[in-house]
Amino acid sequence: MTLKTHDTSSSEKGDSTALVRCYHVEKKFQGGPKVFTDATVHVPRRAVFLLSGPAGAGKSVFVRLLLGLEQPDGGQIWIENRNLRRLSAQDSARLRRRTGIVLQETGILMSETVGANVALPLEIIGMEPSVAARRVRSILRSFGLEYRDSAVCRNLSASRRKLVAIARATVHDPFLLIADEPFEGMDEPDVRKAVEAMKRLNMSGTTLVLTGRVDTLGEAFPGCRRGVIVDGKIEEERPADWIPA
Amino acid sequence: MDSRVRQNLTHECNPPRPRNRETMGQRATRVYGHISDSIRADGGLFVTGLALIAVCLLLAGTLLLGLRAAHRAVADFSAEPGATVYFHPRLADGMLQNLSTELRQWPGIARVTVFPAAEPRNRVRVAMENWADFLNGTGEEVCGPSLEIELKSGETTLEQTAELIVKLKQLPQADRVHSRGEWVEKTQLLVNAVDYTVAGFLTFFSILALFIIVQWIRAGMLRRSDRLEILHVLGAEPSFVVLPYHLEGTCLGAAGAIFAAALLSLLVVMCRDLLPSPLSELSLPRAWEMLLFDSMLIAWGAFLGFLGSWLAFRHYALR
Repeated sequence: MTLKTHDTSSSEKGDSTALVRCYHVEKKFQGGPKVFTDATVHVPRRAVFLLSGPAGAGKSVFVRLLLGLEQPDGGQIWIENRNLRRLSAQDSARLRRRTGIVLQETGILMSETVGANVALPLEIIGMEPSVAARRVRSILRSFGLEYRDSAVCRNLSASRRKLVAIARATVHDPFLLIADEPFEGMDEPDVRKAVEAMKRLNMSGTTLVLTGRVDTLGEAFPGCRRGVIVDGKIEEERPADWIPA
Repeated sequence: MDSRVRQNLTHECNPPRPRNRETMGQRATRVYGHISDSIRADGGLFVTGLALIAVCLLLAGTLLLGLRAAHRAVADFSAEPGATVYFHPRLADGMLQNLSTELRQWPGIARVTVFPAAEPRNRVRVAMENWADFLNGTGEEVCGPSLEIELKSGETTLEQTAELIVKLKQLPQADRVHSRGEWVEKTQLLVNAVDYTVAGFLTFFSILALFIIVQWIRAGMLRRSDRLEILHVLGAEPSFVVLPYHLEGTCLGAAGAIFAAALLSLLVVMCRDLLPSPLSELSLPRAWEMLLFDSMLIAWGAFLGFLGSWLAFRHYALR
């Protein structure tokens, strides 16, 4: 089954209704060069935005900036019409609770089971256990992990762990999914499952921001908005196979 | 714009999210899982920590009971009058009242208090003076009627006081006269020193128990550093994260205190059997007092536990 993804025209660039808006973002770490000098990017609602760049270009930093885990030195980042810089720690956490998050270093609990890991976002929002269990079962089924429910993550392969991380990021039906190199180190069948799940999520209205290698992402999400980090800036490019909505 | 269209658009942009809230049952299950996981992770360390907390609180409790006994024993000394006249045990109460009325007229006397025979308040002091008699008997035979005389402060010189004592000794039926001596002041100083020492030791033992709890919680945080980081990234509220740790600390402190209270009660029961009746009644707390004291000790342990976990977690809550 091939699923389409939503996309919007480039006329929406700079539109205040865009879900993610970054204006002239600057970021520098102590003792290092500037990661971002003037990064500006807009991601419309329901869009899929693919960010690529060479290793060390700042893809993970960009993800952390979007999640409010790092503060930019200059510029502004707006998500859902909220300036992240002005958000309190509590509001920032509230925003992250509604966001699907996949970090490069998987970020799953190795000593816990697949089911417990996937249920974590639901536990955090305080969903009733019986409802959460049903939701987890359904998500695991869609990822082909239903027989791994009680397996301890430590015993899974790296590819499966990544799949669990992606399943966890989608379990609570997030309004925005931010994934840092989600398909890195994954087997081909697992990548297919993850991509299909992400496309389904996108079709149901979730905006996707994914970072990674341009070939992997481009292949998985053809015709989607792309950005490349070059010299601390994000250059948006329209792919040859770009399909307007 | 049609209101239904607007409503649909709003719904599309901001889909309603179910407002979930963790129930008490869920919270209890989560906390239970957390605490049992902590115990399972290192049972030996848990037992050691619990034992150390119990020992700290036991020592603190023993010191407090000791201090209470000391205070009860010397309770009268701080109110030691200028002089106390002990009369013959068979002196009639009427005669005692007459004497007190007469003494109130004397110059230099501020107040006269009448203590009929076998007045319990005086037993302690009498017992201190006639220790052997006190231990061998009920104490009643040494508690003759007495008059406590308070002198006007600043108006009476040492010579006048000595003169007064001589006159008091000449009173009819007067057995003996005790005047305020240096030993009273020294005893008061000793009690003050004991107060400060006990307060110091109490603080020390409480801090020691607190330190153990803080270290236990920190060890738990270190063991679960991955989980804490993931919970932070996923946007868990600090209260969601710290609640199990706070309850773990509180339970640990309370559990240590319960052990300490049980041991302390056992100690008191043993002391009650070992000490002769009048002395044990004076120095050891009654059953209801012990119950109250144990409750306070457990509450103190629980408070230390909560404070310990709060101290261990204050950086997390602030980030």
